Amino acid sequence: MELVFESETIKNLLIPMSDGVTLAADVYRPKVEDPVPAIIMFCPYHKDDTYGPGSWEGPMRAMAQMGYACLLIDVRGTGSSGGFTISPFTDREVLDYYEAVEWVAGTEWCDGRVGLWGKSYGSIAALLTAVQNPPHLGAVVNFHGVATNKWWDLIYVGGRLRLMETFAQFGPRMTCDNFMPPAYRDEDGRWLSVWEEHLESNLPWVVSAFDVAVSQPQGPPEPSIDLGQIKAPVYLWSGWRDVFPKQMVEAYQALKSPKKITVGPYMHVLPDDGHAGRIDYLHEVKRWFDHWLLDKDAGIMDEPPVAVYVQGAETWVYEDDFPPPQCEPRELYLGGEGSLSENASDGASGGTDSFPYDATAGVYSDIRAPQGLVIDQRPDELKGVIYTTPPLEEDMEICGAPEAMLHYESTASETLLVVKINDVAPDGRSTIITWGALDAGGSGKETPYWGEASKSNPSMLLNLIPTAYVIPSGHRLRVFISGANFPHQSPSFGPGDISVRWGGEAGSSVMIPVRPVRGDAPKPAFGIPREIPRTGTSAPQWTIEQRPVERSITVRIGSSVSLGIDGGEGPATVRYTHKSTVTAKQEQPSQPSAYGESWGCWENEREKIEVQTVSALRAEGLDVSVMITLNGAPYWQKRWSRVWPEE
Amino acid sequence: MKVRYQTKVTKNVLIPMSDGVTLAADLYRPLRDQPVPGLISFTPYHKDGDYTARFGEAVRGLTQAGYAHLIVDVRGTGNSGGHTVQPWREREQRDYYEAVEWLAAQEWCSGKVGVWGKSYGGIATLLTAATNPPHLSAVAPYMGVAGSWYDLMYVGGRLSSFTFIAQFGSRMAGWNFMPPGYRDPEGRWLSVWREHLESNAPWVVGALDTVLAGEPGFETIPAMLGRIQVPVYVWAGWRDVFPKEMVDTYRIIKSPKKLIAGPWFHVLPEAGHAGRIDFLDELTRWFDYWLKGEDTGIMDEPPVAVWVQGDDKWYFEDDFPPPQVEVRELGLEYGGSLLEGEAGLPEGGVDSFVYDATSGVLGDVRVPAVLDLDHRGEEWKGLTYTTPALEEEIEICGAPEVTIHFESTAPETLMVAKLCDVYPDGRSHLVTSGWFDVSQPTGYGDEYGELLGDGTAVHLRMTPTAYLFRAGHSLRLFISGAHFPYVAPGVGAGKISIRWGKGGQSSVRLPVRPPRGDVATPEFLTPREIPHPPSRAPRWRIEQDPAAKTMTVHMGFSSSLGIDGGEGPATMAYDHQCWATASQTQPAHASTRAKTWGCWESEADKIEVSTVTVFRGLALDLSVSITLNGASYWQGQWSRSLEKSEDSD
Repeated sequence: MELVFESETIKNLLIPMSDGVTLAADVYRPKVEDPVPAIIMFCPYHKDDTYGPGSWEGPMRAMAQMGYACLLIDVRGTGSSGGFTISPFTDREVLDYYEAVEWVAGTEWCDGRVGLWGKSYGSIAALLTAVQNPPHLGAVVNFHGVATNKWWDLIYVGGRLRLMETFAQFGPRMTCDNFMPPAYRDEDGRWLSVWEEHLESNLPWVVSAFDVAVSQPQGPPEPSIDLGQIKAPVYLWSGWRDVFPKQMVEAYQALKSPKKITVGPYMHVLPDDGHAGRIDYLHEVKRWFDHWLLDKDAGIMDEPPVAVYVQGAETWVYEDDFPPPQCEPRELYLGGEGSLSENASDGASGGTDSFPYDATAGVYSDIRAPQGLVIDQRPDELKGVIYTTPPLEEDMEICGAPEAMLHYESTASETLLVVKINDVAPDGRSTIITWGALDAGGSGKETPYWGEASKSNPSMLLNLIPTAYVIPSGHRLRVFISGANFPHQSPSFGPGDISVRWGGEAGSSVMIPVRPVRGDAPKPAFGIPREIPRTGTSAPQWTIEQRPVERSITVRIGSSVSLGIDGGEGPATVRYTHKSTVTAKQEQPSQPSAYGESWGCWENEREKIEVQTVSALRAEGLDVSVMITLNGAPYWQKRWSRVWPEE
Repeated sequence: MKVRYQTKVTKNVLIPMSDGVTLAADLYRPLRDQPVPGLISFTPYHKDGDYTARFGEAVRGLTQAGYAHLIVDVRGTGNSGGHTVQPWREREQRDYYEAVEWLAAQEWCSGKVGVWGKSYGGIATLLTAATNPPHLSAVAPYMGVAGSWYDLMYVGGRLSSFTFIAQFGSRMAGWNFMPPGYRDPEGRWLSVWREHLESNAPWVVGALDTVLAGEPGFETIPAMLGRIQVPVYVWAGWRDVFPKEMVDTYRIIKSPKKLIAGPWFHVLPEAGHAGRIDFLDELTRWFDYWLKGEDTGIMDEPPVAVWVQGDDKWYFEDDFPPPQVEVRELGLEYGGSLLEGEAGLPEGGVDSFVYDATSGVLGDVRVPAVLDLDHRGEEWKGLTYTTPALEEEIEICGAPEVTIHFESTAPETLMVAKLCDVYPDGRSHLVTSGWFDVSQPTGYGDEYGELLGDGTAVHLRMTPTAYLFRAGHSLRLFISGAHFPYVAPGVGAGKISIRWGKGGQSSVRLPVRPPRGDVATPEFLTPREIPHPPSRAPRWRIEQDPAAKTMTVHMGFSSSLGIDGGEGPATMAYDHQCWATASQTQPAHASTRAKTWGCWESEADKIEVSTVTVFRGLALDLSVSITLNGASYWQGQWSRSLEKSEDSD
């Protein structure tokens, strides 16, 4: 990439909202006289610490050097922005986004063309802005985040609470973030009144998540966001191991404006930080904005719109659509003795296989395991039933979203059926390819795209998460069915026995979308990524602890980060340590426990502010506490408690 | 209805030894006019605290049955004088002899003395018998192997880093520096304690010193046991630490003998998970016969009583293993099968697996919670060979043996074989196991196995057991390269290959007990409820770090009891935690560590004894620190290394 301009950074540009609240933005812009296009990113993760110097400062400066004014805007009630926040994506917050786009378009340094980009929260924010079609919005780029129901997908997954990621990780972490002081102290001291308003009025998002979960036990409202209304061109980026591949693929299908989608193997990280398939994504982003905001023909709309990384083959391919129209559905039928084959039974006999419900199933087969690790999940496979094909005679490429049709019975009071498609190596090692899950209570707590459950003649059709994966010849394909996906999903109350029916008139089966061999087609030629500086982030710690006496499993994930920043008054250090602990017992007689503890610290020569937060989800309900000390002495504290409703 | 006598307890009776040291004992006497026979239990676990809390009711019960019963603190422990750096050595054995003779000489003692004890006390019991005190009339060792350090330290040729060093060794490091629980008015207790602090060494250090000096240390077990002339009633538990040793003890002893083998873990029968019997009644029948001359019928019964697991019943036998046992041989065959006889299969072949140092965490029969665990959680760390579903039930009664033809590219190879019961639903249930270090035979632990021929085959003797495999179940042989955390994992990476089939027949030999027919069976009394000292449920955690590819096993327990502190009431509290970590990728980094905390507290004083033990690679570091009312009072520190120097073998 050519570097064209010198860039400059403007700290804490204040953007007035129509209700009097001001949002704060950092601006990375080229040092030029003429107005330039602007690209905006919204974040609740602090432009002044984790999200600025900790990560996006580099890419934004690079984009500024290429002619774009990049704004990193703290969401209302977070970081340096005024106002307060009680939950993500409130109507007022979403209106802020619209107003911010239009305000930026009206500044003298912006040429009136505005783009949006973002990852995760920022990506959802960008799409929620785009559906409002601000007049000056020219293009959007999204990494790893989409919502058709605001933040419902962050609370529930497959009909169950999103236990580890929301109630033990994101929720507790944001509790800390949302009560940390603004890391950049402006001379006028606005930062202090911003912080005081946060302390006064912010509600920990995990408390709000709990309130939503118990107040809407019947499930989400109808999808309220129609991505098909978006007029701006949208470039979606996703990862097969990310949080949202299913939703991103479906968003791609719903969009009616000009669109592209690139899906790598990634977990919830940017493409140049992936465990595989690392590419120079920023170059692609530049090509997109160059085309749509600068009217440069970068050739990006001449390529096929879909680029996909095929795991197993470890290669990028182009497709004209996703799922590719060439895919052929292959039905595989569960059979006796754990068999899985293309032979449907002749209708004569059939059978069932039963297993006792085990709430601890899932810890070894989490597709989102930290650090990209996929571990041998045979310990999990003991907690359910498995059906395995003979060794494949030729490679099989799965490209798209498999489906599972399950006929079952259950004696438990609540039943979640979890289906995992696994790759079994010749040495017996079994690793996860993709999965799906559905609560048998019917389309109550889950959005329809997880599947449909029928209560009479109990059965369910599950839509598994899409993927692109080649199972090599000699390996076997396995279907693993269990009753839990711990700690990702909150487990059912037990005990109970679950039976899966195969063969006969109502036999269970899976549909695998198989991609025929492509032949000689041009392949995406992405650039090699820049080396990204590691800014004091530790590798996440992950342990699985089994307690045979208590018959429970505890999963722990921890991380920490330490950053030097511009504290306004002078340099400062910001540190965070997060620890998440989730426990389930095999028979799960009561609510599971999910525990998050976060510590944030802002420190300079004179002051040390520590924010200690604890979020405990237990059998009784939820308890959240925030305690803040200034130079070691108590400064502020608050607690919130909620209880589970009576059954 | 048996007569029960009232009892009187005298704390801290002093017994002079011939070298000037005095041992302290609690004396329980029945209120009788005439002399009575005597019983002794020796313990290092503090007569004034833990020992009496756990065994006091049993001792009282025997006293009520008409015995004068001593609980004697071993030299250098508890309230006894002298010091200790290793247990069971010659002077301590002499103490046992002299204590028996002292008791016999008391005017209220009839001159007939018996000795019994559990664990350490069981070992002490057999050592006492082997010294042949003239007035010793009978003994009953309960779950205690006889003889040497090596049997505890090196099991199957491999260092028992977790059980021996982190559990037993660390625990005794704490106990041996605790103050006497009972404070006599003259203050003897303080000079006893000061001598312990001055001269005791943690036993694990003493044991390592013996190994480092290359001393044989002890005479062989058969020689020692062969000297015993008094009648012996051997008590064993299939899930205990020592069933192999107790069964061997029974076989070697030449004097009148009995053996009872229950399903028990390392606990008294009343606390067993199954097969709970009134063992006090049994002991009384035994000692009443040999010490009082009463015809209780105990020597008219068959000498062996065995609990068959799975069948969950008691049976009599004439010997162990029963003479009716027939050996059935099963061959390791193609496709992970285990088959009897010539199966007409292809020539033979090799199955391989990658050595995994973390194998074993779910596969230790001695750990109580393992009862419910599905052993399949371990089975992909090695190879399995499984019979078809049994058409008829099979009872194993004795020690299965395994011959394995193998090759290994790992520098240190422990061959581990486990026998499992596979249920019709697929669950695998651990029955028994055996292991042997084939790469560096240390000369220790030969009874676990031996290398055959040119070192390409190993013969393993599994721990004996009695187990019924029901029809419809299968037998499974599991072979792996580690038995972590019980024994230290081998250093280095490698692949282990097992040869199956006709050429070089790897096989399992099962001692199968034919159906008994209609025979009389033991009728033990149901046990009394006995109080136990308050303690939390034991802690057992297995933690996996998938990124580092390590497993850490954590075990712990704690207890707290009120005692007679002499000056007034006191409490003795205790907490013990130990960890063992093994790595799949760097087995040399295996380590164990342990922490203990003991606390004696009264209105006047609070004494805390904390120990930290770290064993990493082959190096041991152990520290003891004592505080009195919060202030530092005493500290000790030891380091040893088992690294071989260049010029040793």
